[in-house]
Amino acid sequence: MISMIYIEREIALHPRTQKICAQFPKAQHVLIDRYTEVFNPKNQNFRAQKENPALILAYKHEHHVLAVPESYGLGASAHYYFSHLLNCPYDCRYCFLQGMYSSAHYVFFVNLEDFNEAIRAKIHQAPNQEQWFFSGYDSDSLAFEPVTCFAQTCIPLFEEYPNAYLELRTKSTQIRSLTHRMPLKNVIIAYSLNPDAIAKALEHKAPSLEKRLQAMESLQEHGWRLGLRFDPLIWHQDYQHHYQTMIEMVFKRLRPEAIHSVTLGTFRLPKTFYKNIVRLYPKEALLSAGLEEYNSTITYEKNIETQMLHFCKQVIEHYIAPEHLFQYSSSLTSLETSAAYA
Amino acid sequence: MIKLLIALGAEAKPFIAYFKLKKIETPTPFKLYRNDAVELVTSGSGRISMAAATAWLGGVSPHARSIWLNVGTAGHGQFEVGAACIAHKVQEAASKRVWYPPQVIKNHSSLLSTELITVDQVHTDYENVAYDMEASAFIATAHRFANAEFVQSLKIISDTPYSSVSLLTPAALSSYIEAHLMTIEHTVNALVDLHRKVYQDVSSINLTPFLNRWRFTTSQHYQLSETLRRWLAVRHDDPLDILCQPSIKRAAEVLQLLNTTLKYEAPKVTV
Repeated sequence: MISMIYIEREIALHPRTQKICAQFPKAQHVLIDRYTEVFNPKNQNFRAQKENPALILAYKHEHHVLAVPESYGLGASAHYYFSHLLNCPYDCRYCFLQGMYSSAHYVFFVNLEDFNEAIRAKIHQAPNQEQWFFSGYDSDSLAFEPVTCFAQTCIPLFEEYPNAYLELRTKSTQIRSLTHRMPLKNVIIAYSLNPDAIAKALEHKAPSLEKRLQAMESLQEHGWRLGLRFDPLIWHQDYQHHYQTMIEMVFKRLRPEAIHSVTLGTFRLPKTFYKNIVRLYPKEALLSAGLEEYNSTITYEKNIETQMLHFCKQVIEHYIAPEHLFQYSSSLTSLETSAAYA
Repeated sequence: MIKLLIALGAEAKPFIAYFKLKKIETPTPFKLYRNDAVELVTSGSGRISMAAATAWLGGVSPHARSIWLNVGTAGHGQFEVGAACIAHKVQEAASKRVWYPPQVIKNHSSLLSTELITVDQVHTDYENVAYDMEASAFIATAHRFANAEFVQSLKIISDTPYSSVSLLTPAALSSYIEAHLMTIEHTVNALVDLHRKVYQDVSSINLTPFLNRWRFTTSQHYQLSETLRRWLAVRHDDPLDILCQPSIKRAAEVLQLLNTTLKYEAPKVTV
């Protein structure tokens, strides 16, 4: 429950601000000039704030849509990401957000329409080419849907542009705004998945694997296309057994035609983020073993990474065609695939 | 350690009795009282005094991680005399600098939340905020010693538009504070619980047995510290056990052996 809401003066009277504030009638409201005053100070402790994060309502002035780093390209002509929300209600130990930000407060940019306009402008730059827009880089795309109505606001834009693709990356079961509308072929609901043992150990406050699977089954029944994101793969004793069991279970419950794509990637973090996370959780064994530095990225030692990717790939290829499987590797400069992403 | 920074002796008096604090008799620039868990310093009024006292306590008693609280009386434009509040925003009138102490604990039901403006002169033109003369200096200085979550300012309202500051007596200040000792203790306990939770995993690793036995360069010293952290996270045995071979003579060999052993040690999943 949100007990403190910081509100930028500029958007204090914005209808979305007022609607959200009404959802938390007991919360204290504090007017601020810019969200950075609260969010950016350096001597904050992410772990302490995670115990009771505040909500910051802000206005995004520029840079609504940004190009995805080249190494994360997916074979389409252009790839972008956008972040209407910073931080996430889940508390995954491997999450780079806790290494990137000093604050665990949620920042929601209420001017969603400006994100839509920025997406539209990018599409109009190359209207006949396939372009991808990723949401869920700085937060879970759906976890706050009942508060933000983000998906409800963003998805209709993609009805107009079949060449433009939207990926909503999530672990959430908040799918009502999707199941209550017609599905779109160019909107992919991509679920991050890990075996139950890893989810319990590392993905705190996130829905269990079973709950995620139930949400995905419901989405497939409603005609939505799904993405499976086995990322980050976490190296541990029995990892082969755990990942095989999970992958088999996932493909037993989801129909191949509902699956748009599968991606694989092992745990990897920029070195500075990793150091910050380790400072918060120095005794986390799953973030301490088998790692090495490679191009300022902390990732698994090459043999471990190769073995994990190879093993999971073999299991997955029993169920889907290779052109739907993509994998990230620290030694590759782009996503390794034999086919275009769409 | 809980560090209480209080401007006036009359405001400090109830805490000294409640926490059974002993005065440190050796000559010090500020009066210091303490027990095993709490240190209290009276600074005198005003920003300079508070900044000096906070910095002095941070220097003289440098516990790596402490909870810093400024407690005192304040004026307010709307709250009633005797109300207790925690500052969610502190503004320094002179510089216009602003701090937002993160509100990370669930407040006691009788603890209100307020914006607090630190002024240099007694302020009687009240608006719907609290006024004091020290909090901004306390916050700015204590942030040098602790994360913002563990630096908080609690105020008991002593004067309002309907109750003049000129009528305040030391006895009245003491009684306002005394009435809220339980509320303040509740806040302190909540911060202590959170502090314990946040820092439970952070313990310094004893490098001495290694440093006594091998010569590490500065860079190797850092590598040793990180390697031992990983070792203790993944394994539960003593790293010195595998280093008992007499053939290991150099620090580089120590690091290599530890890292090689760790390299293919897949951790167990524990929930």
